[in-house]
Amino acid sequence: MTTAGAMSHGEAQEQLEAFALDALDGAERAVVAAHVAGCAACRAEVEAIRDDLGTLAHLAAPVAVPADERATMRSRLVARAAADRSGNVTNRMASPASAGDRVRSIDSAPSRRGGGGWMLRAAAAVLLVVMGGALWRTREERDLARTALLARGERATALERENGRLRGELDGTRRMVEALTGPSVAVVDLASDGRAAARARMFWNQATNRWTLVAHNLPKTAEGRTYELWLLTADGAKIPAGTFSPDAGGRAVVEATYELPAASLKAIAVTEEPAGGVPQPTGPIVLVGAAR
Amino acid sequence: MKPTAADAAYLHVHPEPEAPDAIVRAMAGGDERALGALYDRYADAVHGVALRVLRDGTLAREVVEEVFWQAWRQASRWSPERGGVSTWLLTIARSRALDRRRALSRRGEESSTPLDALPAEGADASRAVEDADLRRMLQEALDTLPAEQRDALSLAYWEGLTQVEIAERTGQPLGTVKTRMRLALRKLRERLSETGRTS
Repeated sequence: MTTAGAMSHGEAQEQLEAFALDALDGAERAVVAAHVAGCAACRAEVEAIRDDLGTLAHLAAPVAVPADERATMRSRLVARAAADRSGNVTNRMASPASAGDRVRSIDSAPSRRGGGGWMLRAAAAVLLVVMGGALWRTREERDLARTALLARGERATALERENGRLRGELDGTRRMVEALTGPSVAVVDLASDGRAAARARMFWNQATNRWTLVAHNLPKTAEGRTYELWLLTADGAKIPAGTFSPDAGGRAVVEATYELPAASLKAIAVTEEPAGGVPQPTGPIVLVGAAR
Repeated sequence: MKPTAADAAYLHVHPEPEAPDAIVRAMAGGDERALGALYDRYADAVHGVALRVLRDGTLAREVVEEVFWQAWRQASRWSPERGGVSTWLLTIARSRALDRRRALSRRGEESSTPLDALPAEGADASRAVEDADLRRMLQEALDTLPAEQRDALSLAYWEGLTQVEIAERTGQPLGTVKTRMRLALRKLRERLSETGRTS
């Protein structure tokens, strides 16, 4: 197999099947293509092979295009074809003899055929129709391109938004990891008072004054009701620390920032209250835990 | 056989020609209804080829539309000497599907979704039998090849792999792959010309 210079006919013939199948790699393909370009026998052979290969495509059994898609695709195609007349206008204009003469007369000088003024106007009219058709096609294609670009632009915007949202989530997760770990984090376990399955754990990061409650198996709140978190201090104050509802799995995560001297915390409680919360606890205690 | 104005005029007056040749001639003459007729007749077959190559329903349907648009634009290039209309269309289908597949693999987006194939419905009985006959004949011809030759051919034909890529995929030496490909195609073509090809 020669690497430099042209390929011999015999060598090329060996490769024609693979060439016709587009199964040759870069450099080899280029060398064979160069030979084929200059060899009529090989060109004919490649075409014959491709015709045979075309038959193989029938091996794939037909598969129904889903009915609704099929109908819309069909109308799109037919509509587009109807608008795309200019691609075929020159064919139609060229075949009938009289129109063909007129088209030819655009090139030839009108005076040669006599009645120059009439010929010129007819030629101009034909040219306008052909150009108008070409313009129309261009505009239609431009509209299609614009629609495709808009769709792509919208997708890009949606992706950006999703990216922003994910970053936000990541930041939140990072903050939570900080809040839950570290030497200055105190932990308070809360247990249910009667509702056996519900429990929670409060992480109190005394360095950042950040409180994170993680609750499990909380029953869904009734309509117009919510859960509220309370920090109970040694001197009897009940500090509201936010309202929340559990997710479908009974899980809730609540975060709050509140500065409290380490020794001041006596207990943490969760009560059930009217939606929107109340300034002081009124409802039943759902979870409670004592600080050590 | 170039379309004449008389053909186009005739087809305008007598709509919905049955013969595929006539449909394509009408398309070349600018009759958009002929494109609809071509679509009605061959959309499922084109879809089948696209699915075989792409293994993804959404992508395959996009290719179907591309194929019929290309057929519209290139209708005047087709002639009966070039083989049947279905072969012409399915060849375009395979090319467009392979182009799409290569573009996806360049972007690292190979699809691994399983085929969501639906049985073809509504094909009229006579044509369905014809198609099935042709498929059977082709499959029989393929079955006369040794398995490795058949596999090499299949990888090139349906996945668009080059000989080098086939060698990598199968772990075979390149020379072996080349030989297999050459033998496979020669034997297949002999077999096809013996049994006669239909379009």
